[in-house]
Amino acid sequence: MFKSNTIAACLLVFAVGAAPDRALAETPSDQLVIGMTLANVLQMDPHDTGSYEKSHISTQMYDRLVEMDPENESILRPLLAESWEFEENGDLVMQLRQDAVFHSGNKVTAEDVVYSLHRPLLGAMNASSTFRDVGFTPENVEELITAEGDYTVRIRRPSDMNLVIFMYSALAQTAGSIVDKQLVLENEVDGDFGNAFLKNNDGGSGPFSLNRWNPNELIVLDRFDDHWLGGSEMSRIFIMHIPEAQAQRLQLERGDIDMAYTLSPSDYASLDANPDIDVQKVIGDGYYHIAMSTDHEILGDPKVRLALRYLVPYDGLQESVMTYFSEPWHQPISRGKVGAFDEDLPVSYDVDKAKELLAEAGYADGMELEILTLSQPPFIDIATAFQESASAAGIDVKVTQGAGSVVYGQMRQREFDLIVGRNLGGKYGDPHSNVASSMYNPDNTEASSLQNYAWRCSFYDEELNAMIEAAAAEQDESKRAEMYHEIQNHYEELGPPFVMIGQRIDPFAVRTNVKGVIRHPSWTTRWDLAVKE
Amino acid sequence: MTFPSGTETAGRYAAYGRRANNGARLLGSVLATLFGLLVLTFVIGRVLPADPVIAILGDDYDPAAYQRVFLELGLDQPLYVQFGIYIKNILTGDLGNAVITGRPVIQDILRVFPATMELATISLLIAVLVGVPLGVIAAVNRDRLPDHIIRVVTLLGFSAPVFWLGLMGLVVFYAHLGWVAGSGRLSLFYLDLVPYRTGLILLDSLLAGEMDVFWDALNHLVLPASILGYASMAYIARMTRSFMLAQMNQEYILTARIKGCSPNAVIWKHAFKNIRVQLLTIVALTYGGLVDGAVLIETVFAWPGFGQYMVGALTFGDMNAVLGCVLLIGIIFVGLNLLSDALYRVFDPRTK
Repeated sequence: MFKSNTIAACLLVFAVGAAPDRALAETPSDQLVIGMTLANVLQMDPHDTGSYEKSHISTQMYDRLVEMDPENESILRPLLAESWEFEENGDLVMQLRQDAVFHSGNKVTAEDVVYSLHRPLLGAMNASSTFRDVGFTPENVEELITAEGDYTVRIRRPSDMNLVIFMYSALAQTAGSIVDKQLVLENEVDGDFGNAFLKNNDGGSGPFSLNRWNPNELIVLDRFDDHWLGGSEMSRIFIMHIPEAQAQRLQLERGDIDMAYTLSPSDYASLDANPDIDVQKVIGDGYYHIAMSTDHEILGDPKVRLALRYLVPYDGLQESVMTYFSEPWHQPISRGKVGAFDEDLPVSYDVDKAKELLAEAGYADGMELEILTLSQPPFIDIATAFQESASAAGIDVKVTQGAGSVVYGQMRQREFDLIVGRNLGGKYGDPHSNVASSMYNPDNTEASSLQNYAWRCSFYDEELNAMIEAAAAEQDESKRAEMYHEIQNHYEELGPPFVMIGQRIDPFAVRTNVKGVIRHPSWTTRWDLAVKE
Repeated sequence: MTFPSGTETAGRYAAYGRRANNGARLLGSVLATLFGLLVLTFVIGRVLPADPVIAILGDDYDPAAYQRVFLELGLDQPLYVQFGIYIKNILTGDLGNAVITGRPVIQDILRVFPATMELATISLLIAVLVGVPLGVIAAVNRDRLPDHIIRVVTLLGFSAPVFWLGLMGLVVFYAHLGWVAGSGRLSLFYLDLVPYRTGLILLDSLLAGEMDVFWDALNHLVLPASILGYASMAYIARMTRSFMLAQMNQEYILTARIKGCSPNAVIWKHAFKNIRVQLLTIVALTYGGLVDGAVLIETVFAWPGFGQYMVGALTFGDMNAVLGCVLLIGIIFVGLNLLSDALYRVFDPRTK
């Protein structure tokens, strides 16, 4: 008797749970439900720590002055800046639209814009690196970026660099988000520029305002009805934390979410065949690559670096691992940009050629190297594939795995041989983005304030630096294109410190009834344009 | 009216004294345990080669931002000073702010812990309600068909990785059959319908009389709880079987049978009664393990619980959050130990 009662009770527990799901339904037509991992969304301040996922959230909450066309990044489109012009001396003067208001109800004025563009540098926030790249410093920024009246902003050049590069690299990015000066100042604590406040609160004028943020659970954004664009068709956006890619995929297939942002390659492959789902493969910024320290006694030899280029099984990696991570492109300037070559760099897996180069460099008997890598795909796959193929040339590669804070920490301290990475610029539509990251290194000392990838690899060439500065200052586009060709040729002669695996792609999957969302390569995809059929 | 004699009073005071002494000793050992845990965690967290500033800012950080966050985290201070400040703050009830959320750690824990508590409690209920009878059935039918079947079922629970079971469960019961809900604790449509009282949605929805919310929450809970409960059930069933077998071989069982007790009475009134204390320890430890956060299941089911929070804190080297979590885990285990000690006294007459 007891036994049967117990079993009955157990069955009841399962049966109750197994009742048909009452809540499952298509997502409402005026709400957008997005699945992604929110583990890297640590706070909401648009000028501080940035991640792929957080940039997307900031894009909805904060307006910028301009944006890049997602389908052609070299085209700048107006947002808060209605129009702009470059004066003869290179000053950039921007006219703001006069109908924009913050979520608080305060008007968006030139004062807010100027404050927002000072804030990253003065508050030592992470976005300040994009300002430093152009030559702005905490000391000069207040003098160089000023308001002229309520709706005009003047930006003076801190260096010879063409300020259009600044428009791409900062003003069109979340680093150039415009915050509500009055609200931020009201909530400033100990001169923190409102950082503590904006970590958890909203101070923007974007098409959506922050309703709720439960870390690692859910973000809810509400439509801002007074937005100057007139308001999105979506009244609300839910961003659900779904860390497991396969769970994200299942929910997308079932229609419980409209978009999935952080899927794995096998999920994309499976969704590609699903007629209800559109997989957008958009070229992203940067490259998957193997970085080499030129400070290393062996890797300092350009011939050795070139030899390693012949020891990557490019085709096998692309077919088996990289299909949804990267596309074959191995030139240092991203495909399609001004100054990019039309043809790809001829790369191949060629052990004989590698051995020949190693022998010429005096390392015919091989060597031992360590490669650092994140312990996640595709990084670890690239590292192990390289380990195996390099052994054919007598190179004994030791693979060391770790979290980003370990692996990249060593790189920043310039204590590494090889490292698998994913960057090297390309975040905006100008070729300077690539060369500034991978080649430009004006100060190779430990005290350098520009610790980009070239610096981390101790890659330094004075002539190359001068060529890059000249190209950045050039106003004529066709001349610039030519200059970037020369830069790339010279860089190639020097023996680049990177083996390019492929140009990054950022796929994402969306249900076909959702229209209007065009995945932006610069992590600034606008969800306010979404329409459901 | 009678008054206690001098000797009785002295005896009573001596008993009070002994109890106070025991209480003080217990409190001392609890505090020492918690302190030891904190020291160990702090040292391990800080000697790891991971750089928490890079974890927070990403590898493309700005050097000035690095310096600011470095100072914000107090990393410029010697280790013992950092730890001293932390302990001083704890004594004033302040666990500090978590870097990964920008909010007070206490507030974070109060948000994530009920989610895990709810999941763990239902899992344990399933594990005990199914596992104990299965263990008893297996013992009673030793080496016969029911025992073999139960062995296979429990071995599967032991050996199958819980995240794999979770994914398979989602594929079958959510994606194909549509019997249960997908990720999270609640469907989006039911957000904010129930006022926050305990953070346990099942309980809060019952208290608010929102039965739709209750069913929805149960629908989200049943699959992760069943899978988590299955793994624990396997353990409890195996342990119950072995405890029962040890009892069934005792002479008093033989005596009871000879006296003519019914088989049910022999099993439940005699043998089972004597394994309750051991079983209690197993159940308490299992519960402790579940409450610590079932990270894998929480990840697969996007369950916003304690396990995910703690792993996130560890990943980012967020010591305030990590230490807060460790402190809570320590308190849970100490609490469960004390509880099972107290229950021993109820179930085991020899301890009275």
